[in-house]
Amino acid sequence: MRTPSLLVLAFSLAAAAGTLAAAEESLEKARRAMVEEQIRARGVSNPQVLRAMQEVPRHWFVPPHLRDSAYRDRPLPIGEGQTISQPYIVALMTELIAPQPSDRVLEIGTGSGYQAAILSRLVSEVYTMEIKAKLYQMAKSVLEAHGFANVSCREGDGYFGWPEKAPFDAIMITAAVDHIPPPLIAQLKDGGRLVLPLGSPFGYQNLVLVTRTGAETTLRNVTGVLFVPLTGQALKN
Amino acid sequence: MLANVFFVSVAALAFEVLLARAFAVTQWNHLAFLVIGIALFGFAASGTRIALAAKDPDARADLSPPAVFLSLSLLASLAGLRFIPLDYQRLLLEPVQAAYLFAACLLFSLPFFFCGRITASAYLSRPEKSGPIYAASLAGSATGVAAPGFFLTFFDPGTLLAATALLPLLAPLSRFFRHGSTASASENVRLATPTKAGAAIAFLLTLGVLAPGSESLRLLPRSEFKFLSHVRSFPATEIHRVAQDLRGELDLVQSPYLRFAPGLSLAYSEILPAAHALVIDGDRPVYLYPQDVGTERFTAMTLSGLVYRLREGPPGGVLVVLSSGGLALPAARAAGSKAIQVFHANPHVASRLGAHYGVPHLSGQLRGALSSSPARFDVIQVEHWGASLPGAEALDQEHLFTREAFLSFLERLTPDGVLAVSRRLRLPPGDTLRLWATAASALEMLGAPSPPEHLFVFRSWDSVLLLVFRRPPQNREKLLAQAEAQRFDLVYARNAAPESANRFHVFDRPWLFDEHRRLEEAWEKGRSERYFRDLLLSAAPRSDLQPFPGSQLKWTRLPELYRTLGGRAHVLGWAGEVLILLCLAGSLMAAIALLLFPRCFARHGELHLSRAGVGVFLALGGGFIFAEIFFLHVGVFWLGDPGTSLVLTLGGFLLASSAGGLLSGRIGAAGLKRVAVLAGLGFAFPAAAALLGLSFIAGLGAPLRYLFQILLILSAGFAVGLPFAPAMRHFVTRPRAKAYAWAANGCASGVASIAAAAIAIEIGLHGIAAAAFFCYAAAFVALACLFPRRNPVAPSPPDRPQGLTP
Repeated sequence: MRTPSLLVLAFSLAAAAGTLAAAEESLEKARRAMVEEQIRARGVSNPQVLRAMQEVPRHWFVPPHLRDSAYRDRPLPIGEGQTISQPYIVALMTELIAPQPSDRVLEIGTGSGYQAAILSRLVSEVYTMEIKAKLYQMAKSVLEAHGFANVSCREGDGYFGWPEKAPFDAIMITAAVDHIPPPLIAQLKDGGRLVLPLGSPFGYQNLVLVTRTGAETTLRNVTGVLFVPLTGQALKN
Repeated sequence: MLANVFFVSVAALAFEVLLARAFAVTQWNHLAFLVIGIALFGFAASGTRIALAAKDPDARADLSPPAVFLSLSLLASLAGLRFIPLDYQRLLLEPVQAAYLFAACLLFSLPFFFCGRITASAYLSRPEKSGPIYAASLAGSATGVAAPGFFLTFFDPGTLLAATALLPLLAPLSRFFRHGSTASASENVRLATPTKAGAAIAFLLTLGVLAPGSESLRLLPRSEFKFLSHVRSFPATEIHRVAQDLRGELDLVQSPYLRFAPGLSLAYSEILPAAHALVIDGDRPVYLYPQDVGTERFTAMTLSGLVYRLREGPPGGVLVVLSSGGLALPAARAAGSKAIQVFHANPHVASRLGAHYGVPHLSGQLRGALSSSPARFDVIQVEHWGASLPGAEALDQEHLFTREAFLSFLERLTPDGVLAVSRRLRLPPGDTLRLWATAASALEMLGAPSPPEHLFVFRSWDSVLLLVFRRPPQNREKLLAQAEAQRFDLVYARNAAPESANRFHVFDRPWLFDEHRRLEEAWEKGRSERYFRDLLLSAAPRSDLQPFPGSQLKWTRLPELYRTLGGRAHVLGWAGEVLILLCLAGSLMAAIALLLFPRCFARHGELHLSRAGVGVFLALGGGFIFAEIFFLHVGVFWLGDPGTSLVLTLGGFLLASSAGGLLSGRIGAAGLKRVAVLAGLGFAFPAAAALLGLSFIAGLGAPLRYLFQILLILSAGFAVGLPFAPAMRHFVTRPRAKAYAWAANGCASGVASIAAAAIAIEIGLHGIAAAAFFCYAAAFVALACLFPRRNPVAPSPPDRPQGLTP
């Protein structure tokens, strides 16, 4: 009786492994489609950014019941009234800060940790802050579990930045804000970039890119394809 | 039986009002229109159920079991509100939310279903007592509508909902202790053991939920996306309930993490002043700043503060109209004004603002509140940042941004005065275009020869400021220089050079500047109508008749808008207009199902209701609800609060239409067509009076506004209450057919309640009035088809189920 039992066990394990492999393959296929159809097709062209989006499994960062939707072209709720941004927004924000391998980047609003994970593939050090304890714990454990070693997480108010680690080459605000916190501008290196989304987390209308040059800051509203104003010629037609 | 009908009517109507409140607390008050639909479909389903029943209602039928079910369903509804993780914001992101919504609607319709079942059974089984039943139902419904208005001042909606579950039990429980002599046959029937058990369980459950220590069972969870839910999760945050009533729950939030500064200049490098916030129903925060030098420096660097930097000295009178936000008040104080008044629709918020800043306050309905004062202002500042719910503003009945509102603001300005409007920057550009055009229209109505010369628009990266001068400003260059110094971008000034735009918060192209230039050009050439017709978004000025300035969706341009939003369907999905369309589709499907089931499954020939007959009840049901909702919207405007309008209009309509129904007892079959005409005209005249006097009456004092609202409701309600009862009496004879007619009436009402919201947004209040009138015209036509000759109807058969003994 022992041999058949072992055989059944082995068969079950093989079947489970096969199912898992098939599921992984299906998710990877969805990720490839996400990068091609939602991100590259909309104009994000930085190859490093595209590679990071391809390499980091987004489904690690979404709640289990939404894993099947992880690669859909939309934000997803992650609890605590927060969302994981639409993949295209994540890619566009990442491209906008023009990440370099030696960069140190500060992210305000860790949320799911997905944005920090993408950044970790592109820069040397990522510092990320989250004020909501529950989200902080979840994101920290996911990032640690999957070996994103160059990401440092901190629970606390991101409004004042992370002065001990400043200055930063880039700062990314992924929480909804209605003004640019002055302390964050002060923690940008000369030539540093700060990016934040404008509008509702459910459908950002454009991104805002702040560049610091000496004491001067310039601000650019980046519409991308988030909205294409159909004015001018289109209206005349 | 009468006590039963009374108490279940109290419970059902109280539940309707409380459910609207509960939705406002847990979700957003924009979903209130759903509640009326849920109630009406619940009533309709009771008719369908009776039409499908194996046997006709029996005079000896015991109404206690459905009363017990009603009580249990009220408790289940409270549990549903408490435990179904429904969140409107997540509807488009999580497919399971659609199932939650469906389950919630089904659950919340059950109390109305059981109430309808009891009332209909009472009517059908005891037609000789229809007068007292009618009176009991009316008195119960009116009590049910009025009671929450009083008790919400003392208790939260969850507690009141639980307490409501006791009401349907009062009649059955009284029979626990009765023996023998009762007035009705049904009451002589002893309570069955399961009914006793059910009543006891419902009673004990209710007591358990109401018991001290069970507060958590009555606590209604807010959407996690509401402002209050966010700040609650921040450390060192304290939230205190400071007031509650029918208008909402007001909380004071004290937290070191409250930082509100839309339109803050990039030149500002200090720390923001600490602020508290007042929050109504968990959202739309109003911030209270300390009155110190730090706040003065801060507000002076915001876009809202720009308006105070145009003058040489401090402004004289300032009126701050707050919907949400709170920058304008400290900015006005910082500018040195000694005569500031503040307005907020909610009296509790207004009084707290007044006390905090030491300024007089106004509340309620703005135009009416101003009617008693001859004051003129140097600055009127409207601060309105909207709700945190994306797309919700399309559903907001808002009279602050209509042509008539702007005209009334301008009339209140001193000759050199200025109206300032602070808003969020919305893309694609549509909102600012509408504001610009609304202001230009108002200036034209005021006789300004060249309105564009009076207008200026500035923006930061996330907010806009519209300035409307009573007369073209003398210090135009100073204004432009000041904006430039604070790094605010020019969106519009007459004859401004393109180089002066898009300098600090730089778009790929000066989209907003270009678009305002195009609008100005179209305006000056008298082609603004064509401009707005061609524009992707709906941006033409809105009047008091169509007070939904947040609605910008053009259905005909949906594909282009989809492309414009980057091909992101989920962004479009949050538009309030889309929500209503989806609800309308759902309500139509529900109505078709409820009407088709009896047709398909009732015993052959039992329904005895022709298509024209069904048409009569559909038309009457639709007409009644269109009429009611028309006055509900009028009430929101005149009374300044949706909750007050709901209670007054619903209560008034119930009273008046019931009086009409009672009086219609003398109307014979021959008079049916005349009654339909009377109902149509009886509604049309008060409706026309309301439409013609809409803006004028809004500007009267509160007593007169209430008086007009009550008079018009009573006269219209009386008229539209006339036809239903005689129609039911004279050409529907069998109980099952009556139940089916009841279902048809309820279904039409349910669909109309949702359709009315769509009509209000797309056409306006006059569209709802026209729909109501059309329904009564349709009822007349259907009656004409049924009774083509002058006096065709034989005396009606006894209004009693065949084969039953009393």
